[in-house]
Amino acid sequence: MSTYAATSWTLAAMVAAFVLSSWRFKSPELSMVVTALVGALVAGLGFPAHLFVEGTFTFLDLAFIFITACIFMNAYSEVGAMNALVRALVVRLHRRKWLLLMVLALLMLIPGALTGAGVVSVLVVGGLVAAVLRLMGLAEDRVAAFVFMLGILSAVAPPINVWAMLMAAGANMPYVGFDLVLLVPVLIIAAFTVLYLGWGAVPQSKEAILAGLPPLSPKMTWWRAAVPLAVLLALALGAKYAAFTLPTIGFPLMFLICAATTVAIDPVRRPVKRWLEVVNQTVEQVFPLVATMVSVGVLVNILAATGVRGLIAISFVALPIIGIYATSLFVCPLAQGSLGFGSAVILGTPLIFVFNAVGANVTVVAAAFSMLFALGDCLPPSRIVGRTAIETVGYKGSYGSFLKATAVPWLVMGIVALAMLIVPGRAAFLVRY
Amino acid sequence: MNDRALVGRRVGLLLASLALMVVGTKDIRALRAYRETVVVSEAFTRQAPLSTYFDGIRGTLMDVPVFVFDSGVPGGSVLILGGAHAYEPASPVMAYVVMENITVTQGKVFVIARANMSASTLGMLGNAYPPFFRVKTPWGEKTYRIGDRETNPLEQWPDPFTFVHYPSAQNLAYQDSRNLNRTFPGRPGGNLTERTSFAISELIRREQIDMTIDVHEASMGYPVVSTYVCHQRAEEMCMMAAMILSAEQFPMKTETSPKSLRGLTHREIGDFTESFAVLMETPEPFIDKFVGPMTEALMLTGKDEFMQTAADRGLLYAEYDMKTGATLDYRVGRHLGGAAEVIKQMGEFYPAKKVGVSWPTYAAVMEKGIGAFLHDPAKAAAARVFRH
Amino acid sequence: MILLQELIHQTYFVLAGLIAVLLVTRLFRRKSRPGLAYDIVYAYAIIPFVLRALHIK
Repeated sequence: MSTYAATSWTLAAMVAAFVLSSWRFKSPELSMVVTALVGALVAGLGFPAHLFVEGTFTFLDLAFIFITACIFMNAYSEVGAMNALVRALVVRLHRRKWLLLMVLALLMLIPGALTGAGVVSVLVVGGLVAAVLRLMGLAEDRVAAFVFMLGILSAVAPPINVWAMLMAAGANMPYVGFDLVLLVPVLIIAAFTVLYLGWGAVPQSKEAILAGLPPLSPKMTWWRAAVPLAVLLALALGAKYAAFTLPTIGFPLMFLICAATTVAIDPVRRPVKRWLEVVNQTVEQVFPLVATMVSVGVLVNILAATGVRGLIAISFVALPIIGIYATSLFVCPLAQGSLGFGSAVILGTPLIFVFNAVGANVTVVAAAFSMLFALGDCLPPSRIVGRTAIETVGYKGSYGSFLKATAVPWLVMGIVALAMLIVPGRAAFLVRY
Repeated sequence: MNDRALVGRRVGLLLASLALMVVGTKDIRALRAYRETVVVSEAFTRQAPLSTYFDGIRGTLMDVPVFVFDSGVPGGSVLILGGAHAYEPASPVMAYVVMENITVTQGKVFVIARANMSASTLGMLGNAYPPFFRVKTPWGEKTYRIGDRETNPLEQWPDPFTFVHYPSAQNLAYQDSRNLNRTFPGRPGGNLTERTSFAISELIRREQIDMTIDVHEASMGYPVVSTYVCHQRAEEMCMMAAMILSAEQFPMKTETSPKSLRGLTHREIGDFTESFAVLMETPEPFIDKFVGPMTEALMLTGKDEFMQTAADRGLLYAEYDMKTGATLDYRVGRHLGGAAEVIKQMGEFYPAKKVGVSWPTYAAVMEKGIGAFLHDPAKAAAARVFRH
Repeated sequence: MILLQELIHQTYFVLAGLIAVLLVTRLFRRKSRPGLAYDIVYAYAIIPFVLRALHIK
């Protein structure tokens, strides 16, 4: 049997296994692992214990980030700091709805822009932003859509865009000149998202909002509440701008330092037992995301081992340019959904060379692809930012209804990215070294 | 289900998970523990740990041996750097073939076969690489590790969210903090990979190495495949060597190291030492992302249907025919020929830096296979056998 | 600086171990998702944390 036939057969079996197991188990994590095992079996790899165990490590660092960031944010809510900040924002900006929404959008953009991870934005400020959006009259599905869209935009925003960095590294391009060509489209799409999702929302009166919020904890002032976030900002800025004088702390430890800071600023000294409860609750709450990371890693490893990854990649990059234009908006997000940042390495880097060969400005092309990959963070099997967003804002509707609310800004972002891909010369003036 | 049955089920699942850990880590533990053997040639003079040149890596897995082959006759010096990227297997194998067969008549040759030893003990995440590959020899099989591109997290963890290259302050992707070929010239107080780069830079400075040859493999969809990438001070030698190789042996291109691309050996060793910095890339389908099943056979032969499709669509930067593939023999042979020719050119351009050296040629390797040039450790004198 | 970096490095292994312990506790004493499917998922999700804490991978 040719490699094409064998890998196509394996792919078909994996798709069928995913559909069946999703229906049977109602657990996307378990379905991914079952799909991987079926793929290995059909491809003649037997029970791939080595690939299974190795695969669980693929996104381990992300799992650490999820757990520690959530511990920080739950501690932050526990001490009433989140409530204090929400109150401060409402009191100061209640009358200026659009200004408030823009401020919230910018607040969402900062953590992801500094760290390259949209999930960090969602986890760190998503809950706060969601609380204010709700009070400003946005429907629940729109709140989730807002947090998700700004989350993925924050990952695209400069200075750190991991997809562009990976593509640049693969193509031996320096990661320079990306700032404006990323920032301008991100701001345009963010402004559109704010206008689209905020349109028609009618805020309650300030008094009604404040009355509806939990009472302010004694001695919890807005500046006290700002301390842990300031620590996080300082650590992130230090890691980037004082990298030669500070040791590498890594995200998980940064979040734990911020969690410890939160405990320190707590005006009510809670017993250790209460904090242990918070940690246990957090682990249970964040587990689906952690399990997704572990499971999708197994799936990715089996996709590579069986050659299905290669089949998908070659089928896409071997298309004529016009075919790439026509399918990018589907293939790139789907690749992100299954491969995470690996999509930039597997599809992005070869595509940079394809576009380079036709004389396109590769910095603009890489920026455009990074936007297309980011769109996939709400798609299966991993749905990382999408799931994090609905978990963080506590959205109770179906995942489909969340996607429906996201559809228009998602498409606008896709169209902007496609336009940059098709006529990269028009955006080349934004490439500044 | 009553509570007791529920607990029983969960205990059972936990035990099953532990069993999976034991079975599933068999290869992982083997990869971490396995040591390759090398039988050095009679030209071998001495070996020293890399920490001789910088104490900051002493006691770590990165403190690899540096093998020296000194003719005792005044001349130039060369450092062959293998295994900076452990997932490019032709690189350490080329270094081993050199170490097992080298003769030196003038000057001296330093060899590091596993520049990033830590990376060679780690499977590449999400890429399902087999942990080992075996080379057939007349006396049996010789086994080598296939590692990762980056330093093992067991040695260096966590990653920063962006890697800030020293001293340029250029931002690189986070995992490049563990990429030996992005951390040059190195930082004495930096992370382990940066300190290893610094140790290698110190070796080059203290031993006054005239030419450093960093041996790599490239995916075929990467424009600098089958290429010398050279610092501008080594540009003319590389151009001449590429011309001669292309005319007489195999296609070879040359490219000058981009000044804005930081952290790579061909840029930083050239800028921060007196050495001529040369990096060689050979075509390796195995590390392309659009190939079929990841098997040891693919690594050894480079024969792949998807790669042929990519070649037919004009997506590759080197000639490719699935019938011949890009075998390990071909890739190692290219590196042996490429290194020999550029060293020869250094002697032509700078007679005082001439290094009289020979090892199996490209033609000999293509005819007999690399196995013919790997010696049986069981039959060699103990003083010439090293575990690595 | 190197010493501090090493301290952080070792802290991460401890952290991996703590997370593994937390996950095992949740396998037995969780309040949400009590079914068989998530019993299985909890059981294999601990794998990377345990193996990292033990310096195996």
